[in-house]
Amino acid sequence: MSKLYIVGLLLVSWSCLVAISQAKSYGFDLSTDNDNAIANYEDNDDKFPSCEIYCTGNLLHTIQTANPKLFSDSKTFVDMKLNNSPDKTLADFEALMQAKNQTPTSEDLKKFVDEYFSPKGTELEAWTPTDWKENPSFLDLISDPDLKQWGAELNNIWKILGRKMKDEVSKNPEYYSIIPVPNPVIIPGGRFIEFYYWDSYWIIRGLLYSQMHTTARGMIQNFLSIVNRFGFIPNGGRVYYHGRSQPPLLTGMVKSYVDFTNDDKFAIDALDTLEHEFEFFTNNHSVTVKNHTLCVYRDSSAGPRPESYREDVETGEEFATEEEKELHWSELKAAAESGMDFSSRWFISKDGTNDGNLTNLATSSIVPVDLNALLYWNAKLIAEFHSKAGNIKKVTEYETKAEKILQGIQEVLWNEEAGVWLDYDMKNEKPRDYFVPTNLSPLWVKAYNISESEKISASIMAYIEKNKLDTFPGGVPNTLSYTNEQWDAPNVWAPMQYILVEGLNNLNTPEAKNMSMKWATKWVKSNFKAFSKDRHMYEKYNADQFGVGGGGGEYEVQTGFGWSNGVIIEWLSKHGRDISTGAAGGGGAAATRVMSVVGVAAVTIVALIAGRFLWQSWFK
Amino acid sequence: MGGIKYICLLALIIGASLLTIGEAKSSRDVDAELNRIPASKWLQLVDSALDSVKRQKRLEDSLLSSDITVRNGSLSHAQLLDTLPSLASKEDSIIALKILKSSLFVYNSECLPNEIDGDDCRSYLEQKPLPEGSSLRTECENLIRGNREGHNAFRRLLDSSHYRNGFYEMFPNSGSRDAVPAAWNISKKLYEADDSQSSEEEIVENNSNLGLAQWAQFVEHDLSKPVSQSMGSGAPIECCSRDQNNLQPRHHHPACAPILYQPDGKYDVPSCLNYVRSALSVADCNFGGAEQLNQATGSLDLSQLYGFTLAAEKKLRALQGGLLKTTPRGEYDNALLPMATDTEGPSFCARERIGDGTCFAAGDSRVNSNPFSILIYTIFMRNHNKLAAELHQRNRRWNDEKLFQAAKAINVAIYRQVVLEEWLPAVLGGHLASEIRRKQYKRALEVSNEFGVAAIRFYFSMLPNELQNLARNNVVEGNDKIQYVFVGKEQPTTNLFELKEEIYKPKLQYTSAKLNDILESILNQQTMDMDSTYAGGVVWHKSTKPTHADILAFDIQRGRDHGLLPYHRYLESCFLSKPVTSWKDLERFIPKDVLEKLKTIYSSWADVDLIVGGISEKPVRGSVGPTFSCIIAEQFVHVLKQHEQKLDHNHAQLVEEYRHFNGTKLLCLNSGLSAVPQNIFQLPSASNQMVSCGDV
Repeated sequence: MSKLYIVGLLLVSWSCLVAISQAKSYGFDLSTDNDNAIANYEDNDDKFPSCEIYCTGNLLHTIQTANPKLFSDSKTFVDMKLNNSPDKTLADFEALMQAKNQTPTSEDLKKFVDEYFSPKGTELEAWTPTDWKENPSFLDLISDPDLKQWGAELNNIWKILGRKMKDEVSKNPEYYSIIPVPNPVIIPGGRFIEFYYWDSYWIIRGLLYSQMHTTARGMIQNFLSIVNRFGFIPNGGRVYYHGRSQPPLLTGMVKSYVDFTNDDKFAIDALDTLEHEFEFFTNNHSVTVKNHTLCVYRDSSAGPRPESYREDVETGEEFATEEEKELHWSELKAAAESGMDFSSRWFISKDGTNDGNLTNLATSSIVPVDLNALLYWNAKLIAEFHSKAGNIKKVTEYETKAEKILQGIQEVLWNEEAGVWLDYDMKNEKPRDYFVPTNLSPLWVKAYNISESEKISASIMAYIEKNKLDTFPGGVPNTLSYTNEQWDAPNVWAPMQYILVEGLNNLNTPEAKNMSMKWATKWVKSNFKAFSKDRHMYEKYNADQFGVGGGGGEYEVQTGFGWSNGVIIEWLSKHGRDISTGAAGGGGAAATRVMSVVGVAAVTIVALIAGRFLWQSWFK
Repeated sequence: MGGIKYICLLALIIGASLLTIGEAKSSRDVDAELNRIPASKWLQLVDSALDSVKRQKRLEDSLLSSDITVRNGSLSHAQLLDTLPSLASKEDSIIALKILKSSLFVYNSECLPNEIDGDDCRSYLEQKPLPEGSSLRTECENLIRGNREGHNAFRRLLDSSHYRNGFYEMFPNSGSRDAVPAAWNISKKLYEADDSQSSEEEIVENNSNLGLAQWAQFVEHDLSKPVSQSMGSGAPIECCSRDQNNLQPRHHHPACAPILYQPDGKYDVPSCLNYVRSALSVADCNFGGAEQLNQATGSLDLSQLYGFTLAAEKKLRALQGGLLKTTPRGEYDNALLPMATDTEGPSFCARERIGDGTCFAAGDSRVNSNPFSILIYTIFMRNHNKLAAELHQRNRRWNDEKLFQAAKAINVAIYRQVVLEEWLPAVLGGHLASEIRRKQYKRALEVSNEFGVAAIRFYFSMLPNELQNLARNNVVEGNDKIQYVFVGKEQPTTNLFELKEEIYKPKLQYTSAKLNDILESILNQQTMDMDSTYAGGVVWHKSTKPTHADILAFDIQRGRDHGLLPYHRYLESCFLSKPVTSWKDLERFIPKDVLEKLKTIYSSWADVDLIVGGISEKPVRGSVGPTFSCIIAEQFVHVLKQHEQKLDHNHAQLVEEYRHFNGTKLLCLNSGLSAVPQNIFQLPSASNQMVSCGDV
């Protein structure tokens, strides 16, 4: 269908009717920055100086649990900027508490917040990437005109999602919850107004396909700088994420960058930092299962999540003692480290199933397939970069590490009966036979014996059939349990579709490749439908429906949206010649194209004629 | 520049025509495309839908374990009583939901990806039987064959629905091109402070008393009862937090469509009023879109008094002398309605603690809706018992059953007479009301959505915040009759009650004397104007936490839930020879100041909701505007036909003896009033004289 073009024609003709002749304006000044040059960030001794306001303490507790509540989203408050130093703010707050007999009203607190805090996000400026291209070459790889148009619009969204920190942030970091970084970033969007760790992997790939190498490199350099400062990459760019990371994909980002640019030196220069992140991660997350050392998701901080404080206090009420509450919050945060906050994937009920709700979270007792597959991949990639540098000793060292992880994956996580890899429940010492897309993640990072591809493929295809994974109109849901948590059915997430599709494609058997192509096509078409209807890309979608955003969880579905855009741009680049928006294989697509040609022709003619008239009338 | 304009116009026309060509896939294409789906695939689609329904159970269990359900005594409880589903309608709705889900699976899997739009897809599916051999087909056929105790699907007046996806999805309030303004925002913007309203009263001639609104509600209770969806376990669904804020999405039931108000600014916690989508009804065993269930039937049969089912009726009978149960208060003719037992309590009154305070029982959960409804239910209960006693006097050997049936038949006949001969002309004007009798349809149809959830709801616009005490001990002496004419406006009066205090929580000390006062005051108090402004007691216009419902927001939301078409479609079909194309076309029907307000609320005239357009119209004759008149009149043609088809021959002769009964007599005989106006729906005046009850 050529609706976009026709609508375009209507718009063009309308705008010429009312004689609008202004040039497009994006609201940003294109000429002023050279921010892609790498700034020097001066290291701060105190790692997270504003944590006493934003991570823990009486002020945080009082504001976030006020009754009636002040903000509909708990994240709002912790993203606000301080107007005074943390010390003065805390002292004056204590004075207020004293004056109000420790029981201030919501109105008292509103007054305090108004006086001592500036609105959220004021530390960030909109930023148009300087390397943004009007017509990135991936558009030429798309045959369907509507999809091509869509690709162009997605490319436009990079400009909306660009953010740069104001200079004052690095001068006075204690006034902000944001973690200062040297280069501008592309954010996910919606309530996520800062960078996020694993989101950035798919964002960076999208940028690379959009030929924005400088922005992509800047983001990777931010992460390298963070590792150098803190030893690891927090979940996202805020101090209150200080106790947890996210699925470790920095090395994967560097690999993507090198694949696109052939800039081996970049990878080699990063090696120290990448090794550091790898070692830090494995040291702080390892467990021993069946004599193998594998990793689990964890958190090292105390208390509720500051950005979801109220919600965590509420679920914490189910527990009697402070100790139990802390354990519960720790499991919540560990689940957040996995990126899947929250999901029945991390529930262990009394009888050892995935029944229950958030109070049953036992993330740190579950050995996850994806994390170990990723760490294998990290080790392989680090070895690969070392071999580029010619460090034979290091190559061997990391090949050995990779081999050890692979053995663990094969012996602990591969499940012959289910025919797939499964998370492992350490509490009940048994595999968890529940579908999650990450069960197939070893295929994506090739954490399996390539020589066994045929066998694994047959087994995986049977698993897909048995779980009816191909019957959902809107993609493969994240689990098969409808809990209303956002990483459960019916929600579908772009990065998980990516893992499934790329993994099946890697298997390289005809059945697996077919299914891979089928799912990629379905995903692209369904995202396109939602975009045509709502003009939005969503952070998550609904598997039970075609072209509908997801739901559930703590907050309303967000739009933007970094990783969704990244995955679509990659797949439009890879499969754009083979996907059309019309009826599958029918005459619809052809008719659409004819219609679009007519549409384009009409637009052109009108533009030409109108242009001449306007031209003449201006000079009369 | 003229030439350019033409060219641009030309382009606009080309573009527009392409758009229509591009949009449509001919129905042959649709058939061909969908006929290609093999039988096994149809089965698989239904299975997938059933799987997803089954998996929903986990979600509901987890909501219940988090205590997300309607709490006794809450606002949501009061609203639930307005829409309380019976066990049978719950079962009906669950099967209907499975059929809808199956249809949506087909739509999402086979239609949308192939560029078949929702309406085309639905039209095809409506002709397509559920697949042979599916458990759903069996379940559906068993339901259709069984005794459904008279539930029906609401009828769609123009044979089409208005859903975003053609099946069920409501239009969003933001974030897309087809967004419509939020229901609560509309209500808030239409609100005007109560005192600023009275200034216009001189302009419109309005002699109606509150009896008109009271009877409208009673008629509504008889003909229309949309009920809420429930969880699979039967538990009621809650869509707001305990402090009337929105819930986290994780606590959102799929049947929720809460009425939200999002304040501007930094402190941005939305207020929330519960709205659960209406229960669905199985029309046939084909695929198709959503059709809402009506737990009431399309004839005037006093089901609200006697109960919608035989079982319910039996519970209300005294089972001797043909009588209905009462709460004795001295003499029988001054009896009150029976009290709800402790176990029935939560299905009749919205009280925190069961057994606290007065709570009446009747055939419908809506009896305690307000003192107006309590009074009229009481009058018909008394009338029944009076008739039964009379019959018993005359026929000593009749048993309870015979007495009961005869008394019921006469009671219903009297009720019909008053509604059709007196109330309907007051609503529609005499001309249209008599026209209804001349119209003849072949077949009586059920109640329309447009009547049940929009047109008949006009009376809320007429309700005042409080009922003034206009009782004068009702002594009629000589020429004093005239005293009733000017009562009220000039004299400071006390109030009998504040409406918002009495919603589903009877607070008044109910006695026969109190009911007399209420009745007399109703007859003497003028209604508020039928217009787009509701009294503060029935809407929530403030930005603070709501402590009572917003009826207008609720009606707007429910209209959208039921997929009513926008207002202009009904206006066109009732009166206009050509489609509405601009706000200007509405000027004939809607006063200028109201129209200006609507323009600030809606981005297009094409979005105006039926209820909003309906209450905005100037009444021409009768009490309601032309579009609501048209919808009500159409419904009553069917009501009359229903009566004709279900004629009760057993009691025809008895009923004939009561032909002379009218509203005046009904009220006189069943209250302690000593005089009642000739026309019980108009204020007493020189042209509406008081009739002494001694004379009737």
